This record gives sequence, structure tokens and C-alpha cells, in this order.
Amino acid sequence: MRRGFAQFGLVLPALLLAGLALTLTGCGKVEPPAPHLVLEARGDQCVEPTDVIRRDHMKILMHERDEAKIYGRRNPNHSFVGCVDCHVSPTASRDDPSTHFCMACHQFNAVRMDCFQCHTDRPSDAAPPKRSADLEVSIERHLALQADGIETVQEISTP
Amino acid sequence: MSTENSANVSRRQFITGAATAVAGLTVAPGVFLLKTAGAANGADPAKRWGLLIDTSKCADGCTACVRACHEENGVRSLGRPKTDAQWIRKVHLTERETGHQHSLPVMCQHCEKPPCVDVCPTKASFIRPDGIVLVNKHTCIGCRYCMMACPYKARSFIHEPLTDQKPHSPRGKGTVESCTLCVHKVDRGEGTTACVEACNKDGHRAMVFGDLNDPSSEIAQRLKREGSTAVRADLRLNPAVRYQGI
Ligand code: SF4
Ligand code: SF4
Repeated sequence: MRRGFAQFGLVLPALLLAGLALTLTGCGKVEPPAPHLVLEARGDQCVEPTDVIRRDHMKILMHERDEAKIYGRRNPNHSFVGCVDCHVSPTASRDDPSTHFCMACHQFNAVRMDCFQCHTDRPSDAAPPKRSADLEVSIERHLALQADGIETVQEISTP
Repeated sequence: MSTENSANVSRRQFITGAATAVAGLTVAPGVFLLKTAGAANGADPAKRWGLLIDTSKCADGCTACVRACHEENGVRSLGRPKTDAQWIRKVHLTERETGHQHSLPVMCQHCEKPPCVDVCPTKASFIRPDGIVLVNKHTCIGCRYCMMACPYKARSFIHEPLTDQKPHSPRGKGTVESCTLCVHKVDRGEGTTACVEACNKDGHRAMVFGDLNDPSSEIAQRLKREGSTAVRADLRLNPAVRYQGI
């Protein structure tokens, strides 16, 4: 038993070192996004040096999202919406990674991220695809169903 | 492709605008020190945002607030009313004895002691320092405990993949959501919400948004002068949304 532990004690740091080495090699292998996607970035310079943002964007976003969400301390330099606004083409789509600045690189590096399941995949100034007509119709339908009592509302008992 | 390069905010503006807010310092690769400058940035714990709704001014059949809220936050029907998200709804009340009817909007009441926060196993349901109750969708596991705990039925679960979210209002499958008191507007310092704006625009002026803790604010003065009702006050949750005329 004791012997087993001793062996494990040696194996663990070795594994950790190997893991670290692998991670470090992995770091150098980030392929820059396709040239046409870089051209679409509408600004002259990123908020951080390219090597920093390329390696650490996920840490920056992860670290500051809780600050922003829980305490409302928003840093416009490191805002997720800011990244998308500057880098992503208004016609890009998360469903076609080759058109999308973030998704293209993530697909190439086989790093799955689920940001765009909730966050919009398009910059703020992209024309929202489902405006006015469609939206109006769906809201009308929603309200009509509610008014017809198909969707019930909770009774409020006053104290 | 280059025709798409029309940005309404240049990157330079974007950077300079941000420079005053937070000073970030990279200590070593992957290690960041972030310093927040001043109390102006972030939810102010001295404040408590709330709404006062005068039901005598709320018009029966008017849905301006519901429409405005859902449009502002990109909430739309998926054609399945039983599971469609509702951040705000109009409730019609009839007093049995007299037949008196009135109509009022009900949304998350932004309780001071929110049961949705008490029950959340991941602390995803939380209350901001300025009293706004939110769901942190990064950590919400979609267990829906909070939906069961909320006495106002204020929360909705997203059952299906969504597209076309608003940049300021991320929403997605497998998480719970509710009225955010237009937290994006609050953080921008606009001092109003989509529902209040819509109600004012239609001339009903049934809702007031403001800081309950600021004695000089309209909402605090009216609450002091005219009084108000908390829905289910017996639960002692001290909601920040108050009603008059019910
Ligand atoms: S109304 Fe419901 S969702 Fe809103 S804070 Fe109270 S318990 Fe939570
Ligand atoms: S559904 Fe999400 S916010 Fe609600 S209790 Fe569960 S984890 Fe918390």
C-alpha cells in the first residue's frame, strides 16, 4: 500500500510536467484566422497585443465576466460584445464557422466553446435579421394567445 | 467583403472611451491585475432600483410595456405559448364582491430577500449590490428550482436553441431568465427601463423607475407620500416593485 503511494507520488509530478509541456506546445500552434476574416476586423488595433489576446483572451473574458455580471463592473476594453463588434462580420453566422472570426479559429483548433449559444454571434450594428414584420407577428400571436386565456396568468392574492 | 467595414464606433474611440473605466495590468502571461477606478463603475450598493406601478393609470387591454420589454430584450414567441418566455405579463383582476376590474403588469419583483436566490444550488440566481435580481447564465444549470420558489411566477425556462439574441441580452437554451430591470440601461446610466419608457410614450404614465434609497427621487417621494402595496406582502420578501390601487 505504502509502496503504491510512493510510486504514485513520483508519477503525478511527471504527469503534470508532461501535461504542461503538451499545453505549452499547444500554445504555439494557434493558426491565425483566414485573411478575409482579419480584414473584416473594423479597427486599427486590438485592445491587447496580438500574442497576449491570442493566448489569453479566454482568461480575460472568463475573469471579467463575473465582475461584469455579478457586480456590474464592466470593462469596455474586455467586453465580449466589444470583441464581437470589432472582429465579426455583420453577415457572419455561428452556423458557418468559415464566416465567423471566433468560430473559424475555434474550429481549426478543435476547441469547443458555447459562448454563442447565448451571446449573439453578430456585431451590434448588424441589421437584426428578424425585425419588425416577423417580430410583430410573433408578439401579436403571443399576446393573442395570452388574451384568449390559452396561456393562463397566475392569480395574485392580495394580503 | 471590405464593404462591411463600416463601424459606427471606431476602435480608437472604443479604446479611449474605456481607458478611464478600468485599468488592467498584465503581470505575467495569463495573470491579470485589474483595478476598478471609482465607484461610478459597477452596481452601487447604496442604491436600490425599483418600480412603482399605479394600476389606476394602467389601461385595460394596453400591452405597450409587454411589447417593449420583449422587443428590448429580444424575447420572442417560438409559437408554443405554454413554454414561451414571459418576462412581463399583464394580469387582470376582478374583485368578486363589487365586480371592479383592473389590469396591471407583473414582472420579477426584485425581492430584497429573494427565494429564488435562497434555493439556487449554484448561486447562479443572485442579487446585485444595487438590488437587481438576475440569473448568471454562465453558472445556471437549468434545474428550475428558482422557478418553483418564486411566488410571482416571474421566471421562464428556455427549452429550445435560440438565435438572434440582442447583444446586451444574452439568452440561451437550458437556462432560466426573468426581468432584469433593464440592467443594461441601468449600467449605462439611462435611469429608465423599456417598459416605463413605453408606458410614458403611450401617455399612461403608470410606471416610475428609480432609486428607492434616494429620498429625493420621484419614486421614493411618492412611496412616502402616497403609500403602496407589495404583492404578497405576507411573505415579507420586500419587493422593489410596488403597486398602487390594488
Ligand atoms: S420575484 Fe421571483 S424571481 Fe424575482 S426576485 Fe422575487 S423570487 Fe426571485
Ligand atoms: S435554474 Fe439556474 S438560476 Fe434557477 S435555481 Fe437552478 S441553477 Fe439556479
